Amino acid sequence: MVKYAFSRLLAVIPILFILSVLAFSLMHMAHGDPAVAMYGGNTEKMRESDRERIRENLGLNQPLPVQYFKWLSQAVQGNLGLSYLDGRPVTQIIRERIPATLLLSFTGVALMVILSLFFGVVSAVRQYSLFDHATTVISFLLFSIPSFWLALVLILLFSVQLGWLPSAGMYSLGKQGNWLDLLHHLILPALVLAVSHLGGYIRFLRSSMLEVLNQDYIKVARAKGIPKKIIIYIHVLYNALLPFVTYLGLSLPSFFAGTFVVEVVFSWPGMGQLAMDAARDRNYSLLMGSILFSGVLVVCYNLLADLICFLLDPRIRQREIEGHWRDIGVQ
Amino acid sequence: MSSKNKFWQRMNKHGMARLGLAILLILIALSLLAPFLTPYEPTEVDLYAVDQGPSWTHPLGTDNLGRDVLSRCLYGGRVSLSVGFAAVGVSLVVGILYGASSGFVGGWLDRILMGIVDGLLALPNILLVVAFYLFLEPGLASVVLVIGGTSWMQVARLVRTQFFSLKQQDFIQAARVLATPNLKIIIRHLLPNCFVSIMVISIINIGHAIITESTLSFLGLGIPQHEPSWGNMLMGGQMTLLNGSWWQTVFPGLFIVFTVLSINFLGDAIRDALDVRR
Amino acid sequence: MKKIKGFLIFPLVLLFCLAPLALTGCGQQGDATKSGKTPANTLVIGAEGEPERLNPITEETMEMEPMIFRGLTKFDENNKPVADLAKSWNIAADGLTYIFHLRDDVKWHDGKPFTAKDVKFTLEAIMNPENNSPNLQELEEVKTVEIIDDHTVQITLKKTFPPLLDKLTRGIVPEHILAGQNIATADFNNNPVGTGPFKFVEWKKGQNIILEANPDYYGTKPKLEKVIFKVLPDANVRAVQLETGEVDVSFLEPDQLKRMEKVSTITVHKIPTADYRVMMFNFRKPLWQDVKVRQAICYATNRQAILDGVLLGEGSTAYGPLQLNWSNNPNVEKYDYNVDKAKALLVEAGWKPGKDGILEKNGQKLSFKLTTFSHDPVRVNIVNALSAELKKIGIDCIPDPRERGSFKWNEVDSFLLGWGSPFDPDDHAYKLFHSSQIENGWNLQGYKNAQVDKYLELARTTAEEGKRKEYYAKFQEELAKDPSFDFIVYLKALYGVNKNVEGVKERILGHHGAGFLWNVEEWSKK
Repeated sequence: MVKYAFSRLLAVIPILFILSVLAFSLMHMAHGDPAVAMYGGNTEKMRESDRERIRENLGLNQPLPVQYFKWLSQAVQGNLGLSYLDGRPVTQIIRERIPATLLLSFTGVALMVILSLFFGVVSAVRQYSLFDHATTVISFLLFSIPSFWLALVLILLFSVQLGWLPSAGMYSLGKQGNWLDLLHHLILPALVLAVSHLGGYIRFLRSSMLEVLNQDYIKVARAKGIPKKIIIYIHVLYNALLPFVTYLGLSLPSFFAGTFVVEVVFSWPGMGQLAMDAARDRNYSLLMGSILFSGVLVVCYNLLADLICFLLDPRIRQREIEGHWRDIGVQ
Repeated sequence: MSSKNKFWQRMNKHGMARLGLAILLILIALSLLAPFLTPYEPTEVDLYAVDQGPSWTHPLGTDNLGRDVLSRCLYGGRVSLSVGFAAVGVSLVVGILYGASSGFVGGWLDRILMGIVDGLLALPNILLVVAFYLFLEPGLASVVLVIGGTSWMQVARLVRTQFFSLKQQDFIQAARVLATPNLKIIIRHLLPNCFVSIMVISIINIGHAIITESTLSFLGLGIPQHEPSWGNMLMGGQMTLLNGSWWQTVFPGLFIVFTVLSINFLGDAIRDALDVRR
Repeated sequence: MKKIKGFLIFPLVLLFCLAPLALTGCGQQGDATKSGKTPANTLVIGAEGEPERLNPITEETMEMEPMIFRGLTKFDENNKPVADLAKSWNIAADGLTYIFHLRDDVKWHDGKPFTAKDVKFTLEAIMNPENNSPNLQELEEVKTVEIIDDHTVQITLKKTFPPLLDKLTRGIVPEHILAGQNIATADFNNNPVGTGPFKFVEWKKGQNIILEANPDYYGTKPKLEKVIFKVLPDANVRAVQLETGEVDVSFLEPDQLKRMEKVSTITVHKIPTADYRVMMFNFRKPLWQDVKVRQAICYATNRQAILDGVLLGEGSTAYGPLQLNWSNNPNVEKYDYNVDKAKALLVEAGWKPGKDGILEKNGQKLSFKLTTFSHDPVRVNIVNALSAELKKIGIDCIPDPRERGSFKWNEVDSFLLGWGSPFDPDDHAYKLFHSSQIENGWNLQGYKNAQVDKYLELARTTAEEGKRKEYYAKFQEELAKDPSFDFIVYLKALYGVNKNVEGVKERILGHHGAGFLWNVEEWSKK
């Protein structure tokens, strides 16, 4: 087990390195000049001398490899530099934003797990029923809806037309620490997040449940008319859940990615919105920091999920999960 | 399983496939026939008809510059559909080349190449797309490149895995013994065996590409607003949403949903059909 | 065994989910106002951004500059310069020497007295090229600044320069803090000390700037206790916070107007500004050398439709750079919308429609890109609308929204530009149209017209207002004959203000609604 963990850890390092180089080179090949973005306001009035001065200050005229290594040596020590736009440490800015993103993604995950459990289990148990067919169609539908569009439609319905829920932000000012207000703001974005991933999970759970249900010993048990069907179903559910849970763990990172767009639509003050704004403002240092941070987080999660997988049941290898993936065509 | 259920199941799949294909063909036809279906140009500005709801003159309403929404949806379909297909084309080319090389050669090359793929996959997809986009000129070609350039990894992985397992098989060993040139082995023997999975993944990816294009345009990064795409129409729609102009958001979105839905139906049905054969 | 291991997974997953929730408890928004809506007597302003440094030497404009810093003069309700730190002044007959008598009752926020030393220091710092002040050109006619005594300053000019009083509204900084320091990196920039009605308290970068009333202010003592600038770059977020009462003042976009006017707690101010939008021709490109082509485009611009469609009627159609100024000359060619005239001019210039309807001449198409900033939806909409209009007469105008800094001014074909100043006409005339301003000024379009040059110089160096008005009239005539811009619209600035706020006085505002807070020391809030 330790050997496994260690080898996985070693594999992670080159991945992170490649990640940082990729992110860095992309940033600097980008159009748009952070010096101009920093000037803000009336860029018509910015003169070449101003531009040069700001570029010098930000060290943008040094050769790229030099800039990269300077950044890297700092990053390794935990210093991701200062944001170009407002001069604050990048790590601080990220730290402020992370809880919001985590809150959103985990609420979304929780909601999604509950919903997919319900739909997946029931449709497997009542295979070929109307419920099953309806669920299949719905899950296809959910696959096909862009999450931001779903968000817009829900905003239209619940905020604009009905006025029940707020359309943006995480808190109303002055109500910080008020759980009710937070919940009020959390419902729509978490719902969008949950629903937009639901399709794949329902089908996964359904197919994995069916696989167990169709096994001989279950058939025999049913044929024998063992009462307390519930116990059987629990046993079935239990066995089906194992691959489902490992699948969940492995695909959690994509949830994290899914929050990015939802955050932008709802102005949810998390990492996603931060990264998008940084991209638009050509705020290189902040963008680099966010990309690296996201990458690290995802890699860590993958590692943990792998380990848990291994702990649980070494027999459940990557391939089996991938097999299930292929069955439902989810990436 | 009773025969009735089996029948129902097959019927279902066939039905879905047919439905999917039908919807997709209709949508493609609508886009191609756009000039005949609407009297308005998609970029025709009418400053006296700004932000109007659906009416007899404008069945789907107008946007914030008075442009006809129906016309823009139809012409926008051309953009979104072609981006979808082209982007997947790009990802196939890159992915197959990459995965084939990695899988066939194996060893340290494989480790490095797959390491890079893992690194790229570790990034949230949308962030990668945005990052790539930043250093290209805004426009159709760039969007295709960007989406294609960020979705080849899956194809590469798939191809590589297939190559890896296929390599061990007898018929390949036999070919090797017969001193068949490597390229021939790849093209004649290995690739065709991957065909099925590649095809399934490509079809599904077309749907993803369309959604990614719309997301990109929605964020203001894709196709600039004057030439319509379903995504940039949604961006414009978001700004007037709070004023209650629902038609600018609902209609383009529905087009996207139906397109991707039909693609998914199709892909699913194809996969099932090919699976049965296997 | 499997069962036990399996049972482990659930709590682990649960832990994954719950742990970050605990973190949220520790996360803080860092908001200054924590209880209830914005407190009474504290004004919260939704700001689109924040300056790089709180220093009038390094910043070209700051909404909060006149709140913290004061200048020798200030602008009154009619945008004319009147006494501020200087209580009076004498101008010599030759117009080259000004003597300013400073107030003697002014203290800096740190208690030290304000003297002539501060004035000399500030002006010389601005004029010092090493400091890279964007305001250097404002004072380029100043020869020397001399201290006569503690409360008297003499400014000597190289040439007569009537706009000088305008330029001296620039905030003065304390010599006793900044002397000998590097202006660009001084700590002062994050911790300013001024003589204004509001004192600096705190700056949480990227979040807010907090100011409080200065009880020792020599002028009208502020009724507000605190003013907070809350940094909210997203226009929609600002509008939402205005509605919920989390901010009291916010600049609005035209498409938010309908919604905001329905909100009962908000008053919407629609204030005329000197801010205009134009299509700028880049004179470095051969296409614009023919004046007939430029004139044709001017005739083909349906300004009223753009005003009504894009700006929802909030503003006015434009024909010149000084329409809201005392020096305006309405008797110039206005190029009123006339498609037939436009077409005729193009025919005269030798352009004929090609096969695809686009005009052609000598094998070249009349095709060009109209670039603008992609982050400004109003400009993008104007570009799209104009492009569609021009297409109707065979001009292939391609909309080209770009990121800031992703293009060079001397490379664009044309640009949707914005300028306009409510102050001295020289402010946005000389620097925009004089040929000497192409390198280091704001003449981004590379325009050269000897007549225009002549009148701008005369107007700049003549003291008598009547004569100046004549020169500016002539300048506008020449400009209209040889258009440098296709003038489109003047904007109105839209501000949403909470009804709890009183004391707002309107005056003609500047670019992007600048100057709305001009009398904030008279404002109060329930």
